[in-house]
Amino acid sequence: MSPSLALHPLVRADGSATFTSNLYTVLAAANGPVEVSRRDELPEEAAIEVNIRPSSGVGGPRERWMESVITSLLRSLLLVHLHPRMLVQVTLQITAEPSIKLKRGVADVALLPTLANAAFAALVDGGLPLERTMVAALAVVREGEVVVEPTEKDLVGCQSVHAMAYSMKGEMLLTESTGRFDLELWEDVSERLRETTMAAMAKAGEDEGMEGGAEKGEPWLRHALKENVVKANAWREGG
Amino acid sequence: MASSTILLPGETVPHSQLPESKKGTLTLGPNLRHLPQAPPASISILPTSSGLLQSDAKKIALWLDTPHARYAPSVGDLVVAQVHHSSTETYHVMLTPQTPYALLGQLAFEGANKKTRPKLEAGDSVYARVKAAGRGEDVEIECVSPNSGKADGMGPLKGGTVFNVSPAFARRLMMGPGKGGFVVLEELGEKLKFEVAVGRNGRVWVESGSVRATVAVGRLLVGCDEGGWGVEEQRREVRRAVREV
Amino acid sequence: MPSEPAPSTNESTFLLSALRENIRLDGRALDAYRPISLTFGSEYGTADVRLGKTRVLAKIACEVTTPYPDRKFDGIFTINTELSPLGSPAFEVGRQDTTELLLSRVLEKTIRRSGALDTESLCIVAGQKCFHLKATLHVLDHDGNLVDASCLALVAALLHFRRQDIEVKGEDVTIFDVREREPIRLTIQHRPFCVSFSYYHNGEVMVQDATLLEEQCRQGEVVVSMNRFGEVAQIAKYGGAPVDGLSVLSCTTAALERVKGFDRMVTEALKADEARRDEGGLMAELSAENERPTGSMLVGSEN
Repeated sequence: MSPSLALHPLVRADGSATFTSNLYTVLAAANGPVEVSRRDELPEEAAIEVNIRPSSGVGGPRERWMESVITSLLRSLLLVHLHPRMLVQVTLQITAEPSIKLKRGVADVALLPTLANAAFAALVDGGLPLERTMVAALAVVREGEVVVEPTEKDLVGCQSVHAMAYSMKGEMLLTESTGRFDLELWEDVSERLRETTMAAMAKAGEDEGMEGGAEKGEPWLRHALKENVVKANAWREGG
Repeated sequence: MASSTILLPGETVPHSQLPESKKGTLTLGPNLRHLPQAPPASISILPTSSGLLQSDAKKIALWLDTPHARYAPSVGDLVVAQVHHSSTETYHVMLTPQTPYALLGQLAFEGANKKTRPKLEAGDSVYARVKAAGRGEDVEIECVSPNSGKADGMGPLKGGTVFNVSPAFARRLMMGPGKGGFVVLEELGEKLKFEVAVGRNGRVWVESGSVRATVAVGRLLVGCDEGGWGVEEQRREVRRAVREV
Repeated sequence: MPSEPAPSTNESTFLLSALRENIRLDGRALDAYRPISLTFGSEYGTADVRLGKTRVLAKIACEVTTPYPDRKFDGIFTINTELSPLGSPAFEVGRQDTTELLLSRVLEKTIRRSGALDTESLCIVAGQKCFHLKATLHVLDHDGNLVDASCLALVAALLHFRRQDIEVKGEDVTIFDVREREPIRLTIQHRPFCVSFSYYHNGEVMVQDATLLEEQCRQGEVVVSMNRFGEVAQIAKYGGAPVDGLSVLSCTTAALERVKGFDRMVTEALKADEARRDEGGLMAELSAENERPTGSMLVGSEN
């Protein structure tokens, strides 16, 4: 099943997006560039603040760790030098999670791609300056097999979990793994994830030419962003 | 000029989309950037957001619109600003919430000198033009045209009220009659008497002398922005609003 | 320091003079609400309430803990409201502002202290084990009247929630997984709802369901919490200007009508949700029967 992405679900935030993967749903809001507190101000670039909010209760050390991972990912996406002494604020609210209780380490890594995709889409919606387009995806290794975009059941009793993000040019922007695996397996996983993420951004007509384009899934990111642009420009048709 | 090229952040603008230029210059508008370190003989222009590529063959310009982005001040824009506080020689005014205050010189009004300058209180609104907006420096605005030294419709806004619309919609409003697919103000102008001042920062000031008419104008503006009404729907809504007033 | 900017003088003066003529900026009558919608999530205990542009999501979670030593026969019920930049760029993470404080206080009084939830039913083994019910309110969009929207979402979510079933045999406690045994509903003793009134011109003009701008311009507010039988859980009056007793009385009368409407709405939404779930449950059951060789039977709801 390909993930679903809805842009601009919120009214007050500058940019927002809801992203649903096989496991989680995350609602993201991006505000910026806004005024930054003196303490966090950076003289030559925009500060990035990421807040992750669990679906119930308040965040703890796990959320702080995920925030730091997402912050450094966003730093590689945003053209921070365009807004010095300002703040880009991203809030990620988890609204749905798997009904099965997962092991902590597994759950943390499994959540990262959903957070990353939601955050990226919210930044695009808010018109914040981005250097590149990216897609994140998850894979697990289960009984020696690589399963891309796993479901709840795949996560239970898997050997390792891998979250990765790639840019449109195939550059790796994020990699977090947990569990038992060797380098060879990791390389195998990263290649599979690279293909999956590239397929999500592929241009129409490009993916058919590629071998097995159909089974890698449709370019959902391109579709969702395109749809948003078309909707925003509907008035140009004079209708 | 309409084009159908939709780009994603970081995708190179196709060469076929670059406007022909005799002088060999090209003006880049919002949301596009040029990478100078690209290999010679190839122009590498990258969008920083996703949007529809817009081009103007006459001005040899290229830009990208972002529908929901926060307003970013640019020189020459007309804005509706709100005074926050004043210091000895300047007013500190708000263009958009949660951003640093812009500066408005107390003498930056038509024919203003130390004695005749307008006295503004916190909360007052002014219609002004962006004078300076550089990266990393304070935004400055003025209520006097730099060429003529005249107010040209700018200055303090008395009475009426201010409605919030999206910056993209404000831009459409400013395209002028017949353009931007927006007919509400023209249609309504035939039936009602009112004044509007459209700020690019998404604030629209409306005054008509009657509460009912002002509310009607404001509701039509906000409704059109949020509902994405087509021209026919706009006409229908205007007729309904006029009946109610 | 981000904060909700004060409205311009033009806006506040205009709003007040319009209210003098009984006109609201969005064309509503003074006692009219914006369009309300209530939807439930696919998980039990999630309710999403939209009130015009205001949007609140309530989520209930439950875990097993030790009860407070001074309340051995009671479970624990907490309500957590934290406003995030999701709802408005003016909200800051980790800083409690007055909006948040007042909101949590009103909810506390309306729902917790009025005994809407029977906390004794959350007790498992007296003094040793009990359920801790955590209600979290996420304000997704703030355009005024958070109190009414939050209270509605919270009550709806509590009614929607199902907790795991338990079995106590002497000292042994078995907690059944949702897949093993149908989870059970909470014991809700009554359903209180909040109705807020904003007042202007020294109480001469009263407005229901104020937008953010109307809230910023008001002199004060009266919040009435009651159930559909007219039993008042609390009345709070915030703001400086005095309000005479008679108008508070008319507030409660108006609130009763409104609360009856809320109650009906929640009942209908719950019924519709149940009908949808039942359909899914039946389908899942049928398909499980067809695949009998696999052995496991899965009764769940999907959407």
